[in-house]
Amino acid sequence: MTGTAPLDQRAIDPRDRGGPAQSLLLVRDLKKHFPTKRAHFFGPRETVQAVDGVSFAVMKGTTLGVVGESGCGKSTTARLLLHLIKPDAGDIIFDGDGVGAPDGISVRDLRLQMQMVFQDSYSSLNPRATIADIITFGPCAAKRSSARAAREHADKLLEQVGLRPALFARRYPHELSGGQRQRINIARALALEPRLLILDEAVSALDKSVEAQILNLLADLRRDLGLTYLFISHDLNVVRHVSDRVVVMYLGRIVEAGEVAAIFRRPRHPYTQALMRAMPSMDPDRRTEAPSLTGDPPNPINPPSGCRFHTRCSFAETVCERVSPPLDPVGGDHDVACHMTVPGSGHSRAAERTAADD
Amino acid sequence: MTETAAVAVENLAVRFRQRERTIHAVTGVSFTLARGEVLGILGESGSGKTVTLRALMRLLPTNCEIEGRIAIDGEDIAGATTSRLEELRGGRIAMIFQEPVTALDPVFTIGEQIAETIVRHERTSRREAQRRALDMLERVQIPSAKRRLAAYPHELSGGMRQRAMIALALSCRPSVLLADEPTTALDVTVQIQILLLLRELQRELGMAVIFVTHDVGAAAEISDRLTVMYAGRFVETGSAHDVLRKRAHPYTEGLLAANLHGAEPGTRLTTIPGAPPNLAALPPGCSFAPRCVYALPACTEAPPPARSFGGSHVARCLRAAERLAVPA
Repeated sequence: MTGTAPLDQRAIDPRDRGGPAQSLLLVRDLKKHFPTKRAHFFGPRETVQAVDGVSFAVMKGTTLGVVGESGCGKSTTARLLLHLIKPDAGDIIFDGDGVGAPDGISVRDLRLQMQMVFQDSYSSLNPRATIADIITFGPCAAKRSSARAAREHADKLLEQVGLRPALFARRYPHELSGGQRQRINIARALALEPRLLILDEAVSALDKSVEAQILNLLADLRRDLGLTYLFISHDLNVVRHVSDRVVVMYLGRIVEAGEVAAIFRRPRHPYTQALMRAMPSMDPDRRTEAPSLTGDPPNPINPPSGCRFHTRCSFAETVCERVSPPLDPVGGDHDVACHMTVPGSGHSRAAERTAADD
Repeated sequence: MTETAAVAVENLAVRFRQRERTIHAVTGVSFTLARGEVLGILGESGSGKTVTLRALMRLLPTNCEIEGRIAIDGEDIAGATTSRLEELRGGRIAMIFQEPVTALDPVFTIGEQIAETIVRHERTSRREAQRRALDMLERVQIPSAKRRLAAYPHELSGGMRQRAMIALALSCRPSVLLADEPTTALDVTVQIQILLLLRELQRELGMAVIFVTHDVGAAAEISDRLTVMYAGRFVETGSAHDVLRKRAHPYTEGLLAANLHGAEPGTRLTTIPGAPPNLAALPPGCSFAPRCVYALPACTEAPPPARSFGGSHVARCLRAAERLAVPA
């Protein structure tokens, strides 16, 4: 068993370069705009601003949760990190090395250390390959492992994700339940011995009782293998449970970031507050009386000017329409992009709020 | 004479015959639903909740056998003719689905689809139907409703499409609305809007609603009464308060414990060991016994009978009484 403490594990990981204080993944000003088709021949070409200047860091051995509604750019961010789509602008720095930079690491080397688990456990597995083939393919192709060594490793991985190798190695994906398939996806991602795992809505399609099993498994693996997670989900309860830090996204931008306890105890951005109030109450005697937001999120094609949330925000003023608020610290490890938290921003609540805080 | 129930189901069983095996999707389900009452059916995939709902409208494929009595507003559904069913569906009983994209017709505008239903069921003029379609869109709080009447489903956002489907379902003022996970595919901020809208319309129109979901939160927000389904049976039924608080059945307890709400961040979650049984080879006793930490030898012999725990709170578990007696 590899049940050693993560700190010891990281200390002996020969791939570690910067030590535990250096963030494993650093993202600066990441951008991706997708051009759309012209409505008519002479019409203007519009762009979907899927990810528009996103910056964050993931510390070694921790879990960063990314929450947001559909269209907020969380999945696009995941794909940009792995270079499954090429970013338009921005830097991705993995343990001190710029990805694709002249003195950094190549995309290929990055992918050996960063792997992804997708939401749809069925479409992300080759239906014509056995479980053993699926897990051994990566090591054989990318690391030139011998078939035999890869197979032995695959058996160990299956054991680790809670599936008996003798029973599952020769089966095909369609013979497995959703929870079992997601375990295979995790084993496949771990086959290259990555240091960072991107989990893109990895438990969202599962039943609650299975979801709990997979979350426990992910916690065990993180501890035993000293892994770092980027955990993307629309489910606030799940993100709260697994994350050390949380990033909240809205229409391609980060609106709030910080430690999980701080954000859930006292959300500062009106969007984060609305998101939390929108969670069903779970108590039939204290039901929700009024929705925290009306309408759907706006279309990311030609998003609102200034603060992108101003069209749905009950505190919006003229400054919010004109100026986009920067993501600034509000004390401790907690950043918010809202004019109300910036003294002298021109928002009428800015002064009184900060006065009350200090 | 007492008022007839909006829905009365007695001993419903649904079986799918395949070449070599028979799948017991629903077994021995009985319940009544009063007018203006909301029943939530909570269950995981394969528990039979959607099949139960579809059986009420006889929307199941031909290779299935339905047994038992189904009555809506006192009218027998199990033996109704095809033409009578066509009149009832969309008229007195309406249904809303998880995916409005597949439930709405892509080649007709929202207005045309609602008007068609009204003309078909109430034989009004086209013009009158159009007027009522507009009225319905306003009721489900679609902004600039007049313009949306002429919109095709693909031109609307997810939340708007769900509202349009609700408008379509309610256009003939059904007395029973069947809702099959209508908020599952929506974002949280939109989900709560749709739940509140359904609650408001339900009160306004005095409809009986059966709301099927796997989401405890959505069920708690909307249900007066709640039932938990496992392997084709109602294992626990009662007021939403009783079921969510008292949790008489061990499966209810496990399902709610696996829900992250209130769990201490970073701790291990309590999970239910094992997997649901094969519906083609159900165990002779309680279907949950193989996974149950409280199981006794008697649990595996015969399906446990329904026992009452005060009021309408009923659970099918031999040990529920002693478990409830000991405060946890």
